[in-house]
Amino acid sequence: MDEKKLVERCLSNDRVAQKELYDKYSPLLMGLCVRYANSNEEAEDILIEGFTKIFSNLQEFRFESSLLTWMKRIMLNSAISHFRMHHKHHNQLSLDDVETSDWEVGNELPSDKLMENDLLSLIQRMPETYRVIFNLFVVEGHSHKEIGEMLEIQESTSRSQLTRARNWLKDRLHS
Amino acid sequence: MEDIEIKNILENIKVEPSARCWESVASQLASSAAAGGTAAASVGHSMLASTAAKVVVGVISSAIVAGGVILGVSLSKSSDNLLQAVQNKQNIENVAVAGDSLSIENEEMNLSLKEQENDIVELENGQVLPVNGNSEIPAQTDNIAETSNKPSVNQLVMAPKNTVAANPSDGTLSQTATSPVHSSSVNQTSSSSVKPVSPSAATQQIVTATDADDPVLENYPEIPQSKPLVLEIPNVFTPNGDGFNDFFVIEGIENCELTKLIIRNRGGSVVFQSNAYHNNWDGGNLEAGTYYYQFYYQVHGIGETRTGTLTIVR
Repeated sequence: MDEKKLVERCLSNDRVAQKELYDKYSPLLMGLCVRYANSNEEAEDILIEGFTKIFSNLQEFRFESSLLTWMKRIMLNSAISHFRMHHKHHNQLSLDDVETSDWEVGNELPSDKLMENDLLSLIQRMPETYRVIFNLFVVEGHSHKEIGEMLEIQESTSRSQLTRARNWLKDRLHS
Repeated sequence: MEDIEIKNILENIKVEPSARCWESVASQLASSAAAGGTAAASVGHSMLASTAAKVVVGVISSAIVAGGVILGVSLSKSSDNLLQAVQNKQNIENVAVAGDSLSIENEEMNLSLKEQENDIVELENGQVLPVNGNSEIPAQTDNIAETSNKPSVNQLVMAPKNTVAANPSDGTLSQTATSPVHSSSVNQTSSSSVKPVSPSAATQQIVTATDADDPVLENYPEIPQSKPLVLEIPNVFTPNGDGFNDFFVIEGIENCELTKLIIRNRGGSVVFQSNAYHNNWDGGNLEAGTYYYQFYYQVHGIGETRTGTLTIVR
């Protein structure tokens, strides 16, 4: 398999191979980061951290899942740890506060489809907690129990935040 | 719009990251390759420790700029320079740890500067100059402190260098700075307590300060570790009258100038509040279960907040 060869070359510290792996997957993984981050800058920080972890842990990858799935999981962890870092000094109850993001309205992201652009821009403008929970539940397919553990919040909080996030989105999708 | 549609769209969005991402990843790859993929030196390695002492001034500046939560990010951004600082012998994790310990030193230093409040003269323009306790011009500084609007500010700024330094008895900084490198470090520190320094300036400072060939810096004194404020807030207590853990006791609270404790239940309602907490809350009539605490405190004039969960077991 090409992918297996690529991984092996990366493991032998072949910079060309590492760049190849990065080029192949970074746009898709960056697509994940921009859904979680509060700004493009933060998304890039998450991406850098994630890729650093990917390369330093590549020898742990056993080809049991697809490489992309494995890399997405690492990137997601990187995103979650950023989110938690934001909230470390906050009261946990501040989850109820509406925190706005730094994404500019009409943020120009290269995308072929108008719908993609609109939806992503809406997601990015969601209050941070709504956005993270919405992404984890709807896109990544995690359960409320898992989300509670990841974000160190109550399962019920995750549930209620998701409902609010849905309402928030619904209001804007139909307007 | 159905979840599945949203999922399909969002999951496959591709965004091209900017060039800085790969550059950053690649430079970290290069550093870990230089480390031979292993941790060549432990965190306590003496070389790292001495280098850490040298770069601390630069890191303080960047820490001030970054502030609070973003601190970690800022440090990781400076990791290229830090890597140079440890001469590529540490892998990235080590540097991250080094960054942590440096940031702690920074806090301590700010605290120890604050401790010398009597020795700090506030100038009209908001600059704070720590003045040596053994200074030969105490009368002059008193005068300025009282009449801070007077133009004699210049006089103080022009005062001999050895008066413009941190207190040497704490060993936080060298005071007899006559060389340009030393004095600029000292100035950096005193001004950093009041005004932000641009990140690029901070980075520059790191590069300058790590020049191992500089004979002046070779003799730069290591900055000893003072004891940080330790505040231990328990996450559980057992008010059942057995004499053990009957009160919600925050260890180290006696070192706080101001304290405010708020306990909320899971619904977010305040169930206990104290504006001067003295480790004397026994849980009242609250049922066993999980609560949330918010603890505000002030040390040396700096306010902090700690929050967390608190379980009452009866």
